[in-house]
Amino acid sequence: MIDIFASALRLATPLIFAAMGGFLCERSGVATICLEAVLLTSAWTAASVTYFSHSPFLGTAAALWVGAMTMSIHSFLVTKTKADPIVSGVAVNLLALGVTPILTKLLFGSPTNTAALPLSERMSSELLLGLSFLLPFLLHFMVYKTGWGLRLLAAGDGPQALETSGVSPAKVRYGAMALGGAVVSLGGVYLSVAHASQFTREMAAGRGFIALAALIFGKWRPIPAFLTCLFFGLTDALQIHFQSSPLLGTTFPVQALQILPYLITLFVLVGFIGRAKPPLAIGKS
Amino acid sequence: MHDPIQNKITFSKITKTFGAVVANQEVSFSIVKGSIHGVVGENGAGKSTIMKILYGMFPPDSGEILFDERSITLSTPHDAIQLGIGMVHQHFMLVPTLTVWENIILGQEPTLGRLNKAAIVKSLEAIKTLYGFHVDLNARVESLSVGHQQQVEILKLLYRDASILILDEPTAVLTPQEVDSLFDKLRTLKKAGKTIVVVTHKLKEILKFTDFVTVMRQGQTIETLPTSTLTESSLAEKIIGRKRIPLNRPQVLRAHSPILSVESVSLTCSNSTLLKNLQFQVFPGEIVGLAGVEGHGQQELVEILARARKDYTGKVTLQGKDIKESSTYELKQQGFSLIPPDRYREAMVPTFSLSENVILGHHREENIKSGAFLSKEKMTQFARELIQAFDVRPGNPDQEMGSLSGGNQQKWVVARETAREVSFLLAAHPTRGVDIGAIDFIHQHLLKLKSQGAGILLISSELDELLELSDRILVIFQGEMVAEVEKEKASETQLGLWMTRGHQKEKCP
Repeated sequence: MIDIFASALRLATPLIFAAMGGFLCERSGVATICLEAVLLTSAWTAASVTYFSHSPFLGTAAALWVGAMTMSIHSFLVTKTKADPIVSGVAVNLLALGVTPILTKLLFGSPTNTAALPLSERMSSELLLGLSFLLPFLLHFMVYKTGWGLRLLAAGDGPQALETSGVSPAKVRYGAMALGGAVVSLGGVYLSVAHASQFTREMAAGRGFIALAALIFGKWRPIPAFLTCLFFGLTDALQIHFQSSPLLGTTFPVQALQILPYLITLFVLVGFIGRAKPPLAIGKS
Repeated sequence: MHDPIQNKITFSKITKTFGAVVANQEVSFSIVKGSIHGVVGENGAGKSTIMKILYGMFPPDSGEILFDERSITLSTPHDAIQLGIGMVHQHFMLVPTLTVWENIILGQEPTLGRLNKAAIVKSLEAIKTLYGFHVDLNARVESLSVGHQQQVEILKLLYRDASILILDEPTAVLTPQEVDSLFDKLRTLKKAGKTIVVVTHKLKEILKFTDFVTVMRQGQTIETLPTSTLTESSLAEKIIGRKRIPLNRPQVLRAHSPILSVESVSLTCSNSTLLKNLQFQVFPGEIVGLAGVEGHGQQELVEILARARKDYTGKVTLQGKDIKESSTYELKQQGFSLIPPDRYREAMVPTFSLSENVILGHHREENIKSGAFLSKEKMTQFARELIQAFDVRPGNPDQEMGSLSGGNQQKWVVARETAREVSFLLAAHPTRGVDIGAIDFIHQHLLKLKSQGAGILLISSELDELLELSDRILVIFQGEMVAEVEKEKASETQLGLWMTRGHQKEKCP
């Protein structure tokens, strides 16, 4: 039983980082479906930089920077060139999906994975786990209690009002999205150098989308989104447990648990569990 | 006015073009500090442009703005705010999901550290008391009435310590009572030494509340003069540049049988009553005005009469025939016409040409067909005739309708709806967002239809319009008909009260 909960926490951690980063991005008024891309580029960067520098902290710092930059491609396309945020998000996702194996092949010879790190060069899981539990509360304070947060919310819900108050919504968005990208990157770091010891191709495995689902289910609020991530982590842990459980054996359809996060999100979007209202500027160009 | 430049904001030969369109051409006038200054003109006269230049939203192509004697450069709203200039836009610039106090401090708040809500609220309360505002600082803006949202906008400027307040069409969405209360507040602000610039096209307000008026026409300033020297007709003439044609209301004897009869129509939608037992008739040769604050059931009534919804109880008959039993096409054959409330969305296809738009709903008629097909030639010919009759500009039948000005679009809608014989016309906000020239034209046209024996139901939020055109005025409040008065006995004040507070039912005839 305790095993299942421990495993749930481990599985939830990257989701929490991704959802919290997504929270900052979406709240600034830009639809952000490219959390997956940021997880991939940051996971790759963390594994590679740590491998060559032998310092997981340097690897993490580099991953944060690359994650912020990956997200900034998206915010640049949307804010400056007025690209459709969904099209831009898909493009950035595909870019990350393609670029990471190419770089892996160039540096490590095989496109499937980077070289494994020794245990001593891995990042502490507990540290990241602890951080992921603090972050939602920190973001709640930053966004709902400070002047910076007020501007962020205004950029998402009333950019014109913000502009006529003498503040550029574009600048607010660039800042929030870069910060959001860095936060998502912590999830990537967790995946490749804390939870595992190397980057493997497509290792984000849809977590960026599940995090987005958690964000929607949490109605774009950090603490409910955080709790949803924990719940999704639990369903994932149960699914893994049942796969190998002699009790239920092969008769239990684990797919039923695997689809749970997506199913729940669908229910929310259809409006069964209270309507989820996105930031008003999302969906408008 | 005697002291040339002292204590004034002076525009000197400001020119601003957008592509080929000249929005402002050598605009020059002065605003005396500490006064209420009106800027009037038709739509597209350049009033809003010159105000946006003053607020730093558009830099002018040439010319300068003088503050006292100092030339100033304004390139962003931030510059204007620094100089104490604030603007309330026609469409409010508020974040609906944030609270009132959050909206007010937005852009002025320290970005680092926790916001000190208690201190902010305290300073805002002081401003509120000083100028007599009543609005709950902790309410979410989306829950406020339009009048209160406007108060928030003005508080925003006062919190920024603005000494010059620009208000762009501030009364467009207000009831008569809210208008009075707004101008009371503006007078208080004037006493406190603020300068107030009001952009509007409503002549009455200008005459009643301002000290000076600047008249603009086609991007140019025509004249600036003290309000006391003006009358409503002299001001209107200056605005349109010619004499107004006086309205001549023909008297038509009431026929015995109504053209339209609404019998105990009620409409409920998920437990809320939208319309409650509506009962009225419109006779041939009569204009019946329907007064009411927007959102009190007018939209639903239009939808019912236009056969867009049928989930009501009760009965509506046109010439004695239940409209539920006829198709829209058959109604049109009976002479039913409709000027919808939302021109852009409901009355036209912006990307269609004028000639295509004018046959919408009439495409089965023989005069535009050759054999089974539409004839482009005949359509164009038909459109040409109407363009001439209704003086629509520019008058090219192939031009996209969306590229015309609001006034010309509306004339075109009226042209389509009244080109055939009309027995009943439902005119919902027929002059909304339309300039004075076109308003006069549309009013004349409605009266012409009346003299030809059409029955007209006129829905409008402009009391002036209702009082000028109607034979009878009905007042709707929360979906209920709360009053009915003959035109002669109606007063603006009384109508305004009924519109906002309802009326004892037993007094209605």
